[in-house]
Amino acid sequence: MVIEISMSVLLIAYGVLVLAFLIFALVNLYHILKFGFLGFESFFVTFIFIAGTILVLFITYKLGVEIDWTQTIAF
Amino acid sequence: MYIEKHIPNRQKGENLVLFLRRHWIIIVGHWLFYIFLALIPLGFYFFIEYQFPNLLTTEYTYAFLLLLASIYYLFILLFFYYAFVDYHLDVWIVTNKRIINIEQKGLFNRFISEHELEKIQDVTAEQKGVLATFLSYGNVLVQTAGEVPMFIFRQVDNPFEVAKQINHLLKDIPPEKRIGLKTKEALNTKI
Repeated sequence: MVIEISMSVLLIAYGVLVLAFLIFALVNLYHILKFGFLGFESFFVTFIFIAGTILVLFITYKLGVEIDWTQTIAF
Repeated sequence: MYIEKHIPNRQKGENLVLFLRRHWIIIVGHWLFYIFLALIPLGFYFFIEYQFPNLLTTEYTYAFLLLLASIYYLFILLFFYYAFVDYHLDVWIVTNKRIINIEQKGLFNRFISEHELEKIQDVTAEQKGVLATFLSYGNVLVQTAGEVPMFIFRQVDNPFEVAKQINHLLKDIPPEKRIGLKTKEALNTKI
C-alpha cells in the first residue's frame, strides 16, 4: 500500500511553528515595552531581533518559492 | 533622568543612587552560546554536501531541511532575545530611601521587593571565580529585617563599591531609626 502526502503538509507544520514563535516574540516585546527601562541597548537589541526575524523569513521565502509544494511524497 | 522618573512607587524627595544590572559578560556569555548553536546547521550542511550530496538534490528532502533550518534559526533568535529580556528586566535600585529588587523569573513571573534603608542590618560583598576577579563583578548580599530577609544583587559590577555606597547611605540614618546594623566585606576569590 502506497501512502502519498502532499509537500504542502510541511508548510502547515512550518506555519504552526512560526505562529508559536510569533506569540512568544510578542510576549517578549510586551515585557520589554511594559517593564523595561527603555534605552539605547533595549532598542538596539530589539531592532536586531526584528531585523533577524525578517531576514530569516525572507531567505526562507526566497529559497522556498522555487520549490513545487504541490508535489506528493510517496511512502 | 528617565530611570529616576520610573522608579516604582517613587516617594517625595527620593533620589536615585544606584541602578544596577548584572555584569555585561553574563549576557555576552549567553549570546556566544547561541551564536555557537547558530553555526551548527552550517557545519551540518557542509557535512551533508560532501558525504551525502544526493540528499540535497531530492526536492522534498531539500524542502524539509529548508523549513527545519528556518524554524531552528527563528527559535535561536527567540532565545537570544529572551536572554536579553531576562537580563534587562532584572534590576536592583538603590535610592536615598529604599532598596528595590526587581527580578523577572521566566516570562510570566515577576518579583518586586523593596525595603527602607532603616531595615538593612548587614551588607556583604563577595567575588568568586577567575572571570569575576578579572572583570570585577560579584554579589552583594543585603540582609534586612523584613519579610524578605535577604536581597542578593547578583553578578553586579564592582560589588565592593556598591556595598561601600550602601554603607555610606546607612551612615546618614539617625541611630534611633536603625533596626540593627553591622557591616562587613567578605572577599572570596578562588583561582
